[in-house]
Amino acid sequence: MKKFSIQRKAFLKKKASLVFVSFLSITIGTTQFANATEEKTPFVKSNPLVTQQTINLRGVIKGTDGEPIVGANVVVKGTSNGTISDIDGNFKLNVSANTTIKISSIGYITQEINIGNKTSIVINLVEDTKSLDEVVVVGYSVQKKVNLTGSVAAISNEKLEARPVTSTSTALQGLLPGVTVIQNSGQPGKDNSSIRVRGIGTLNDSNPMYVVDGMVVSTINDLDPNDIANISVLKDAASCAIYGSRAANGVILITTKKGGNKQTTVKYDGYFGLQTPTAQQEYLSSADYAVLYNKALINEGKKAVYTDDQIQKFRDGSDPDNYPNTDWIGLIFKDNAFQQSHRLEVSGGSDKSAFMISLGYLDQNGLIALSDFKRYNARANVSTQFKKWTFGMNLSYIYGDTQEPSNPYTGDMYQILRQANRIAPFVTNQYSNGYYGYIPDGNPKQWLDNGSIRNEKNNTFRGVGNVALDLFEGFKIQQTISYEYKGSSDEKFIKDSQFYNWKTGEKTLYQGPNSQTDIRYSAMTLNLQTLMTYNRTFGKHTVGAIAGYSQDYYRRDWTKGYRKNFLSNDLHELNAGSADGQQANGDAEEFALQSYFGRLTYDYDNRYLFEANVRRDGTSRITEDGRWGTFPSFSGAWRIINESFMANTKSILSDLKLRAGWGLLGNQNVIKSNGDPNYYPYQSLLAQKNYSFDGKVVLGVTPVDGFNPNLKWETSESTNIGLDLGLLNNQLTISADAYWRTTKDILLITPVSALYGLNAPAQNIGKVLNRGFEFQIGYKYNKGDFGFNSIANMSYNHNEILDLGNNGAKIWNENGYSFLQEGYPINAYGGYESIGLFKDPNDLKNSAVINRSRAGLGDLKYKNQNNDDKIDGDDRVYLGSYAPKFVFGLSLDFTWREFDLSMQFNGAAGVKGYVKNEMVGRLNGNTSKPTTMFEDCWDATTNPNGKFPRPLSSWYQNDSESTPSSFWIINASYLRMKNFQVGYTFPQKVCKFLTVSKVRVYYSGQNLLTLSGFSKGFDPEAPAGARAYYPQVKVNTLGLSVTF
Amino acid sequence: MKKYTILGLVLLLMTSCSDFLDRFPLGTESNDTYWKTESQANAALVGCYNDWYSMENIIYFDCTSDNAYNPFSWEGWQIAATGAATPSESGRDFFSYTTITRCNTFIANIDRVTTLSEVKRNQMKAEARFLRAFNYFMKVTLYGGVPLVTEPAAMNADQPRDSKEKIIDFVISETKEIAPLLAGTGKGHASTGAAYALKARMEIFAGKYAEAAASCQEVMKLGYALLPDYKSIFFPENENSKEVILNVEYEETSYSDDILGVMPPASSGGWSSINPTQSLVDNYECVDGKPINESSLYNAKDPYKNRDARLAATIVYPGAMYNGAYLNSIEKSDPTGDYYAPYGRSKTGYYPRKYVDNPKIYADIWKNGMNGIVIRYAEVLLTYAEAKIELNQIDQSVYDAINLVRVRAGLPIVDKTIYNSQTKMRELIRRERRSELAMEGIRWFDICRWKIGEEMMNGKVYGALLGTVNATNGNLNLTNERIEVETRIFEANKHYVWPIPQKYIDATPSIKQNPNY
Repeated sequence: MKKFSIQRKAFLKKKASLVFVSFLSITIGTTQFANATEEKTPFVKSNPLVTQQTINLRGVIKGTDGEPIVGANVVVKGTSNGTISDIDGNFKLNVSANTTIKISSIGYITQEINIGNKTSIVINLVEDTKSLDEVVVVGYSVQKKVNLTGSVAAISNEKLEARPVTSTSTALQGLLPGVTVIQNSGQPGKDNSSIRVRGIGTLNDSNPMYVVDGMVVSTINDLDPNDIANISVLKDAASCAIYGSRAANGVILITTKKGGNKQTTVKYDGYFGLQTPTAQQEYLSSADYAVLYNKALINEGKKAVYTDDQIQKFRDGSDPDNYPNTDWIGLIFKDNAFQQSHRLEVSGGSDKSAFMISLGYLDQNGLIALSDFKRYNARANVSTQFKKWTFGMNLSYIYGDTQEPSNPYTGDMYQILRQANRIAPFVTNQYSNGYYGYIPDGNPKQWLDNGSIRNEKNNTFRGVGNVALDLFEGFKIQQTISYEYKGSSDEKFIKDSQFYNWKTGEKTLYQGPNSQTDIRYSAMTLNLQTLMTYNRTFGKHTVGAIAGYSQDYYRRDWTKGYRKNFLSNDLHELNAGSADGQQANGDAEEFALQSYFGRLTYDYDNRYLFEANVRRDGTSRITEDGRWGTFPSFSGAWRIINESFMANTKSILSDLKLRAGWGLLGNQNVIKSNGDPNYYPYQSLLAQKNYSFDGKVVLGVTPVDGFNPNLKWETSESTNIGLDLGLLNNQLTISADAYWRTTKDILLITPVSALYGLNAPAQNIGKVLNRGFEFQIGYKYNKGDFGFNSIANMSYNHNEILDLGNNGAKIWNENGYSFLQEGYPINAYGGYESIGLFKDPNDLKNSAVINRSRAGLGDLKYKNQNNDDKIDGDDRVYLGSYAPKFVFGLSLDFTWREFDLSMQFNGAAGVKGYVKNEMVGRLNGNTSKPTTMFEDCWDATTNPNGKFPRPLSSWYQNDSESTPSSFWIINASYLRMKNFQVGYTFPQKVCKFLTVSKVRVYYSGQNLLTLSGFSKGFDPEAPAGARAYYPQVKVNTLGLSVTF
Repeated sequence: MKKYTILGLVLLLMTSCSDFLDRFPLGTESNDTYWKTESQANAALVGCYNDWYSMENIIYFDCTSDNAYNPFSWEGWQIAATGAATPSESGRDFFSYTTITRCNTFIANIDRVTTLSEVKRNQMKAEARFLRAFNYFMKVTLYGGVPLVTEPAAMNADQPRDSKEKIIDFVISETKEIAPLLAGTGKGHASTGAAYALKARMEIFAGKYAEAAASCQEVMKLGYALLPDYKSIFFPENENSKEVILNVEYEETSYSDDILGVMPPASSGGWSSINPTQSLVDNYECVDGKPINESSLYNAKDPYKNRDARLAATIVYPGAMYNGAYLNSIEKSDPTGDYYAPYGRSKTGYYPRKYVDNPKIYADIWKNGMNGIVIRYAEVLLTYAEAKIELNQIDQSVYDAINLVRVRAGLPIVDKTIYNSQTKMRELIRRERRSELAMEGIRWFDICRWKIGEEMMNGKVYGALLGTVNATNGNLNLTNERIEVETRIFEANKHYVWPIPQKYIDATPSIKQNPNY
């Protein structure tokens, strides 16, 4: 028995893509599918007149190398009588003598054989390199990759499957050129990543548009990555323009798995994993802190508070009640946490119907007690044909339950992390008699032990239903209804806490009363869409056209209830609390979008390709006068490889194509200054702002948010040129793109006059440039049992504000460490330029400082940019950007016999991180603590070569948060092994014995290795300027995948 | 034919009604369609009151003066007092035009409500004008001249600072005009008394003593009176008492006062954010009506005994009974853990007592309905006396006004034999005013108009003497070691006004920074 071969494996992959494509042809309804596969089984009426001798034909289908071909179609020509070859390439078919059978399989040249009177037959199919051309999903259609004129990156499910990632966005990290994915957190249920396509084009919401199965959705993170068949990222305007106003940040098109014309298969995937944190801050011991704290006080002209004797007690731990050394991070975090995932998929169908049903379960415990995420998801994708009609429906339901510990202040987990990063080691957690220690706002471990919980439940239902009609040849019309419902609840129960004087037992700090806050949201989007497509080939001319209409209606409702003074900490539904002091709030918002769009494609002789798109969008967010915007695009490609003069190069060159495109895109997403979406930016609103008279609250309204009736669409203009190159029968593929994108009339919230008195509204201000290039190189090698496949990609993006309409002035953001200014990247870091420490009294005396009365040796020396007599706001300069200049990814896949090994790396370069406050540490007493960075504090006698500024307590001239400077802006370039996986597929005979068709076991490791110049204890992907964050996790998993 | 019928149907589907894109807020009022009914007018006025002032300002403001110290620099009150404020680190922000814009919007739109009576309309306008005047009073005293804006400003409005005099005149003329219109407004609203009291504040700040005295006399006609018990002024049962002229009002549930918890010591679950200074403690006379350096009753080893009762009503000092125990902030081995040195404790050893005399009266000290007193009658009496003293018209009415305040505090009346000159009376009124109004957010403004910053805001800040406290009777055994808190710097040519926050200057280039910042 031959081993399960590479080719078969490769074949199975092809099969998967066929399945996916064939469904698309049904739901999206273009005949381009036929171009793509060329083996489409035609609908041909069976001929009842033929009555001849019947033969029980047995056959085996093999490739030229003798490997059996699984799942090949065997059809009696001109009929619908057919079958599919089994796992060993065998088939049986009852046929009449002398009939012709047609054998087809994707990736092979179709053969027609007259069987004569033979009862058994061996068929050798020849590989068809031409048909290996991938098909990618583009807006409202699919297209052969070779025929693309725009810039589209695509990956199929193999890259997403069997990886223990919990969210789709994270799964994309490092896989696609031009797509930057940053994961800021490892918290269960909240480990979502941000996705940026080709840099940051706008100053608003820079998230790309997500389209799942043709439906615009708000997020893709609740999607089970294993449900995904294919992801396309539309990057340039030429590809995106059909999505018009919402596509300025790129479009991510996701198609979920479909069934297909095959026997029903059942597949199970599951894994168990253990998570450990990647990096955590390290803080100094209480003794070391006490020494520094004394120094800090002395440096500020105050008295030291800790005696040598006390410091010794901190050090030796002889009196842990009074002189503790508490490791708060250690108390809060567990060493590891468990996670598991199970998924069952059933798919199949006939030549007219297809179905795919999947059920998934994910359970991820957190590294902090009480934090946990559970997700249940179910999906059914079905389609069927009736005469000229096609019906399809995709339904999915996702229930996510996120739990995290809460706290008496903010009610979420972040405050616990932050508190753990600030409470000093010389605060006792629990005294020997059991009482908790605390700082004025409590004790994070006590909060955890107390068991207050925040529970967020998310229900997402999505349904896409469509009906299509093949009206006449090449013309299809389709009506789609899409509906998304998101219901969520956010329930925070805060238990009350009583702290005591541990010596006297008297009550001291009380954190209470206990209270429950319930917020319930429901959001719905209803989309109606009509699509007409036309495709015809006349000789060497292939034309295509799409015309469509779409309308979206969105509404979001929320209600909030609050009660306090519950009888105990056990029951916490609102009814168990006191009606006295209860609160109820609620509101609703809606917006609407209306669109007309169209596309024309023309292909002459597979050599000259041309495409034009236009979309006209109207939005409710802009006044009637300016609400309609038109967004055209044009693109073309020249497939040089198909020119006759290239014939001689075919032995080396297998593909050569030049692409170019230009287009306009819009943006209407306006946000409020607090980051929430603003659905009514042009309307002057009066927010509810109450007051109390004589002990009674009275309803009040007043303007709070500014408004702008002159708003118009933000538009971006982009140009893309690209080159695709295939060598050695596409064993080596290279793709390169260069782009220029300028976004103008940016909907920008920029500081307005101090006299305006309202929150600044969005204005159409400014112009931003993104330009860059992307490069992808793929290499495949197969020999015997060995297979190797690698893809490397690299992107460079240059982001620059060209104009802000303010004569080049800096606009500082509220956070104080980033700014907007012409000539610099968006939200670039800014601050003082630190040029070492003051070590020489004369240098100190003769240099400008922020505050002369507080300046001292060991302070950071800031460059006096304007050479006046002081260091002030005018001396702040550009200090780098949080957006990487380069991002890169590399995936390496090896197969050898039953073994497979894959590694995936991603990284970023030319990027800065900013560390501040709790993440660095401060010397403020018991509500702060220094990290190990402070070990290098300069001291004239003990550490004259120190690079870290002298210790200070309440003076902030060196402070990471109050006085941002380049000292705290750190190179955050990194290279990370995102995934390492080694798998073993059981041999066929074992499978046969087990009566299954495929079994694979694997080990996978996430985030196993990180190389970074970032400071010790920090994750390079940590959010800029964070005061605390849930660390990213390393995950070691063991998984099993069985196909029945 | 059939196929074209279907096509036609589809095209029909594609043309939808034109108002599909007209969407308006569902739970928020739109300014365009508002302003019709009297209740809408009322609600719009309430919106002006929202956040017009705060209890936080009242209790923290003395931390910018020599009365108190704020140990937590991030709370924003420390930097102005130490003399280290800069445009980018400017401490608390009173420059914002939020309240002014709200009031201006109200005044600009209220005439759209046609159903209001003339009297009612003028009264409501007067309330908004009062809040606006109060806001300009704060601005002109803290920053000097600011742009005077009396109508809703445009997004790109760029207007230079008007002169200090112009703002002062505006506050005076506005309060003068609205005072009669505010008669009969409800509890918690701006009132005639509040308008005259604010006018008096502005006038005495500007050195217009005759006008200030006259304004005070207007208030004195209105029936306000001192409560018999000084301490009880700040008890919840005396909210809106006859001594209160202007309150910032709260309600427990949804417009709550969430700040009082910053005051008590850690042993009572508080944050120890506001620490009265030794300088304030020393200001209180002894019960014989003499300052501590003149009184024979003063014992430096038992310094809190035989003192003006307002000391005990204003400050929790070592050995004072507080929340069921004697405060011991001066003894290292103190079992209650209030020793001054650890972080999160008062850095002076002293705690404020006003509003939190008994923290247990609040079901939730972080969320309660306690109002904050912005102006009370005692201040008006003392302003009257001061104005007359500065005019050198020291008649019996001056002594009467001061005596009313002193007698209520349990002190003897002013000894006319000693306090017989303008100089002595000035010394007395300034001491009296500091004692009476300590920790109520007024001291900084007094320092500015008396120009005593160089003297009072320079050099070391001190706290209590260290020693031991008897846990059963609160008796003290003090050493000679005094707590040192910090060193302050005050430059006369700079620190009488605060720096304007840089962000406003960035966004409104015509606004220029105060000198020497």
